[in-house]
Amino acid sequence: MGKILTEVQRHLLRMIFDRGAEGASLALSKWLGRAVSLSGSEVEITRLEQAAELLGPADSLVAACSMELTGRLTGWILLVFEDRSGLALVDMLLHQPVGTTTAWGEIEQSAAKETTNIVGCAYVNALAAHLPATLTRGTAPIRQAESDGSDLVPTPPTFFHEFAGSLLEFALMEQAIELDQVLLIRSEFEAYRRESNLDWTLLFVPTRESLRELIAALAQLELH
Amino acid sequence: MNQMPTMPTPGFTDLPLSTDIVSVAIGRWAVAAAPVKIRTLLGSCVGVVLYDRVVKVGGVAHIVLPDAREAVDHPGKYADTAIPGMIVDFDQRLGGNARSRLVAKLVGGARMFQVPSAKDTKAGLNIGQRNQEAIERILAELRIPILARDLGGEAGRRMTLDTASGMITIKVPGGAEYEI
Amino acid sequence: MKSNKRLLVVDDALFMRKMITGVASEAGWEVVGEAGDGSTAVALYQELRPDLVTMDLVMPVMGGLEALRQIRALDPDAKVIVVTALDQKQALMDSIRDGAIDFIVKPFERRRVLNLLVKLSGTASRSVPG
Repeated sequence: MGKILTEVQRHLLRMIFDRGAEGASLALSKWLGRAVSLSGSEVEITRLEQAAELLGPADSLVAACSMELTGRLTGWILLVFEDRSGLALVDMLLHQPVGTTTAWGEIEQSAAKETTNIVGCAYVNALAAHLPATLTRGTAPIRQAESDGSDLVPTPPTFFHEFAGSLLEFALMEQAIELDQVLLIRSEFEAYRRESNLDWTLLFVPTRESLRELIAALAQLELH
Repeated sequence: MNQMPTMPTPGFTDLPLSTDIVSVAIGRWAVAAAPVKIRTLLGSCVGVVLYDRVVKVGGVAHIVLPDAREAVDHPGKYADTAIPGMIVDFDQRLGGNARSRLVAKLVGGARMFQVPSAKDTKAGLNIGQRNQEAIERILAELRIPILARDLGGEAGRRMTLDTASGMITIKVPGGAEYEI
Repeated sequence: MKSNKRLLVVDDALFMRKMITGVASEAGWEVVGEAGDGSTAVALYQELRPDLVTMDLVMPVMGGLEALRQIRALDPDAKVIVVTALDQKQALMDSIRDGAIDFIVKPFERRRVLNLLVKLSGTASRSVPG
């Protein structure tokens, strides 16, 4: 079976999702009140079997917040972090020394979820402005999106802990049902200050329908 | 410890030579003899455990999809090729018809995410459930009894088969370990 | 005479409700109710008749646009500020069409929201009989 996209298409996809990551890092910097750096977007294409290790050892426990994306681009947005990094973020938001918060109570989980909402929305806000125009107006979502127009609308975030490998398996399974190779886009965030320990990973996993549409749209762009 | 050499077969992971833990990746299976432990990490995939209580040999398959259809490679990925494939390994190891002594346990088949697209109702929202149904049907046809199940839910599971006892230890995120 | 600075805060994130409450209090508003979804927001609006509402868009059960429509339907004078991270064309157009008086994008500048709330408290014009 051939590659699911050419090198050129992969590069174009990166460029588009880089806009999303840029928007997300600006929003996160504003939200935290400190500069957040962002690695560029990586388009990861692997077999499902290799994907389990994308976030480190498959049986390492991670914290994560997830949102589904509805509209003309569908899939899942995941913010994944070790507990230490997540709790450090809460400390920053509460304007207290990193290390003060040690447990995920209600307000702490809410802070992580709202951060995911802000970062995830900023990501899709930028994507919405930069996606190829040939992307269709989207399939009817299971849950009615708030707006039925051209917007990309995420669902409210959820917070949970999971084994890194299981999380990836869950997120990629919809693609893996039909595709031999699975694709996701990832960006890494980190705060500049060494003691902040803010190592977050942002993942976007498209549904296979959106993946097909994206690839078709990119193929059209290439022709011009 | 009595180790029978076997031919490597598709999906089969290397024969362990000591009492370590053999890890089974997505879409693979492994068969080993006591006292080796076999471990795999599950999400929506289903872990099929087969165990020969007499000889104390066990196998774990990490199954992704119910049926292979036209696919000829990666037999470990599909219930209808992985289970027979794993049984062939048992037969090769034990020099005969192992099937009559085998018992099964099933783990996994959870579901964390709904699919956002409404179009996909047939293909597979609940792939965990479809895997379970296919596996139960195949095991019933093979007359292999299922002694225990830990299926469904919304969380991942790390399962470890102890081939010395046939017991499976399961860990879920943030929870205590338990056995089936 | 009833105070004319009563606020209903609607957002599914407890953390954001606390943040908005903090700013509102500084601007002299009294938070008389909080809701975590649009359905509760409509019910509380009916019960409390606040002078102002801050409304998130993306929420479980019922979203902010639908809640905005229902609140405006039961009270055409209802004053609702949309406060959302969803900064896209349809969200903005729908908010305007459905009668929101402002559209604030998260993460917001605290000062901007403070100034807006101060301004609104001065011009809140709920007439009270007697």
